[in-house]
Amino acid sequence: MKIFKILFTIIIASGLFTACDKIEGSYYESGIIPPPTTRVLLEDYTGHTCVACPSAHVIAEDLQNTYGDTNLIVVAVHAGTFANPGSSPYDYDFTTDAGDAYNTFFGITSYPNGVINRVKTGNNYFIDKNQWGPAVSKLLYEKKTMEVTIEANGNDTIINGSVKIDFIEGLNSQAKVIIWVTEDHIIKPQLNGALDYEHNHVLRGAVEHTWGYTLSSSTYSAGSTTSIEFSDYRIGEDWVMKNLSVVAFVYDDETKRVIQVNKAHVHI
Amino acid sequence: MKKYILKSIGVFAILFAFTQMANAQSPQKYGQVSGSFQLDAQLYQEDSELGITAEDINGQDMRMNAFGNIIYRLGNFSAGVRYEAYLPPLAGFDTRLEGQGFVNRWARYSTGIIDVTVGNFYEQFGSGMIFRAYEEWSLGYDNSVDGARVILTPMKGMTIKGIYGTQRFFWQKYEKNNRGIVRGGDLDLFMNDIFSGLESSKTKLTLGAGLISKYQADLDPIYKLPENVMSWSGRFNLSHGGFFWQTEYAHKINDPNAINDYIYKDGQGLFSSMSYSQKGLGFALSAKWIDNMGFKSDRAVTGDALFINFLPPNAKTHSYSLSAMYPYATQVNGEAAIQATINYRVPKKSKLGGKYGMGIELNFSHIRAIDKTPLNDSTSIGQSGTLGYETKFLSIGDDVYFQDLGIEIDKKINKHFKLIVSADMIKYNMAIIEGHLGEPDVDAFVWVTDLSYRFKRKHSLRWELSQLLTKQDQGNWIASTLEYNFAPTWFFAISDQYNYVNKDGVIKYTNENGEVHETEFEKLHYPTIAAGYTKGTTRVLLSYGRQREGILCVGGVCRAVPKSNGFKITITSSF
Repeated sequence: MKIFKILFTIIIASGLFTACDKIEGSYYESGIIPPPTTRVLLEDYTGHTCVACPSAHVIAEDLQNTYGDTNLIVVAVHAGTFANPGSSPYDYDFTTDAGDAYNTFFGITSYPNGVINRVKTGNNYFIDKNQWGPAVSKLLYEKKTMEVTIEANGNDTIINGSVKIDFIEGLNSQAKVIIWVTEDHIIKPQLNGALDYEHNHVLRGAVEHTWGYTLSSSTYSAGSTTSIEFSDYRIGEDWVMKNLSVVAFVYDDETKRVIQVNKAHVHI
Repeated sequence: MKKYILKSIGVFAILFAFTQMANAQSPQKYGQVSGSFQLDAQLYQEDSELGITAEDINGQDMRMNAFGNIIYRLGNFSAGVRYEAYLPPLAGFDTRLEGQGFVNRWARYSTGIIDVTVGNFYEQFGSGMIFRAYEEWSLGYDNSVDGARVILTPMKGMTIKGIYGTQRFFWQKYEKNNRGIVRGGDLDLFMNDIFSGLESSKTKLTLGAGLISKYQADLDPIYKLPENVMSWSGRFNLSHGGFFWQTEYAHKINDPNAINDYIYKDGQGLFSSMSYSQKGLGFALSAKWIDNMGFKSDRAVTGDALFINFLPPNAKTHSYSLSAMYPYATQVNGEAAIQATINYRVPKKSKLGGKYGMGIELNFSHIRAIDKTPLNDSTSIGQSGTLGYETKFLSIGDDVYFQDLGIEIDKKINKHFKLIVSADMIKYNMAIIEGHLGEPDVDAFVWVTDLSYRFKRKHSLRWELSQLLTKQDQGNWIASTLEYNFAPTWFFAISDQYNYVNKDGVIKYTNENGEVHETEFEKLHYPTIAAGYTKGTTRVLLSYGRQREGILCVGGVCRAVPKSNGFKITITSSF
């Protein structure tokens, strides 16, 4: 019968459109990740009484293991409802004036939440932890337009240092440089974690200005260099100098977008 | 680009020359040209009460969206072009629309057995669950396919469609790897024509099936992504007299993308709709269950662009402004929905129906989450780079996304007066629908009365009064419109929407962390005046006033409408 002949032809022809790839086993391209072309800053807005926050720390750590912790700079910003010191054992104060200011500026009210290179997605700077992976992987392969080099020296309770900026490409907008001090291996309780939870890359404070140093010019030609010196930054009483690092990043003052970031341990 | 515009203008000029010839001589010999045109322009003003500053307007106080369609037909051949301009797009439309040019050009030839289109085309398989390319001007939505389409009719009752191409993405030209390629086929069998014994049967049955496959290169450094993603569906339409039943099941294989947060779970969906009508009574019931069915020709794109499929809506589309304040937007990552509508016409000369009869419509829609459970203890629901979650087919979750229970009554009172009254109780999950995490659900009650008074032949007045009551979001509203129609040429209208919030103007709620949020709203009026003129197929509409902030949805696809103040003109025409 004609109909069966036609249907048979259709079934054969439909093979043309059935191309489909079912991914089995691992969903990751293990071992073949190309080296990132630039660095990315991931601000993990978190709190010690936030139950879902440890899962975000794991995601951040996984991403650092994937791309290297020198390429993906993670900073834990303790701010908002779940970061405020409460009753024991969650009575330690992780909050900072700078962290509170960023938290308000970015409009973050639920935790955990991330801000990646301070890039807006739609109307928001913040981005859900499950979307950190795709966002980070995209930004890590953008073109590198400048390099940031940090020198930091610790002396008793004082940190001195400098941030050098090498312009690989010219810059034609006003940029600023934020310098932070972060601390690793702080053992303090974390809800849904442990009483002896290890808090890493915790933001301790901004050097001099919350919103950073303004670069002296708004135009720099490719190949030029500028630097910012800082001195006499006094660390907190319970901070451990050997666990401290300095994170510095250059960002566009108008869009707030991070152009380049780096991190260096404080030399003792 | 310049070359392309010149080329398109050339096509346009040739078509225009054809029109002239067609008008002057015999249309059969030279073909026919038809077209349509629309222009929407707005002049934006600062408004300190609405919080619109010169900075918001940013010098672009005049904005315009416009299109022109020209179609030429000669026998079995037809061809067309579509020009669009967004200079810049009206506020609330995607800013990537900015630009102008010929976005759409196509040629089509059809004989009895074959129908071929090359260039841009719109098409739909079944209810659209695996493929629907369409255009919706009011949303700035256009996912037309640029490529080739073949429709074959090898025998009576059988239609085979094949499509191959790339989808429109604003003004971006397709280049290798900048988005995916879509290809697919569909078979439609009208059984009553195929089997001669069924020809005269009152029961009509159509069976159909479709396949769509998308190709997009895997350039992602972290994930192994499927480069070919296939989706398929099977469907039937059954009718018998006034009874009609259609059902479609769709399935999509692993498609990690930005909408589902890169999970590898298969997607599936079921849509079924049943209706019955006889004189004076109509009944419709539809149900939909979807899980992870967002399907785009670029896995990295979010928002409304580049959708390959369309998931039919299960919520009433309201036409009165306050009733339409909280419209439902389809949640492609998962929803379970039902909708029922009953229409009854109370007969003329009955006790309730009076001299002219009375229409009653009852509508109920209810939409919930589907039930998702974690894969294991260490994986959160929807975690990227995993299967995401588990769910049973047709499972129903606890979260209510939307509910609308409403009644509408229309009655002609006498020779002069006609009255429509409606009332709706709406539940609206703002956190899910608008993505405003932490915002409480909105429970709103809206009533509308719409009274028309025809006082002379061709002259009528219409008065609309409505009120929305809610303790959430922006609180209470009252709105009224007075319209004068001089058919078929003129109409004038004056209206106001007043956001009176509540007595003290403060909306308070406690979020899940126990924090109390208080927002003080200014009680604001949104007055507008409008006038329209229609002559033949041309209509000009002018309006001046404030536009409240809101959401506009067509078929469950939505866009935000920002608040504005200013002068607006719309011109539509066709020939």
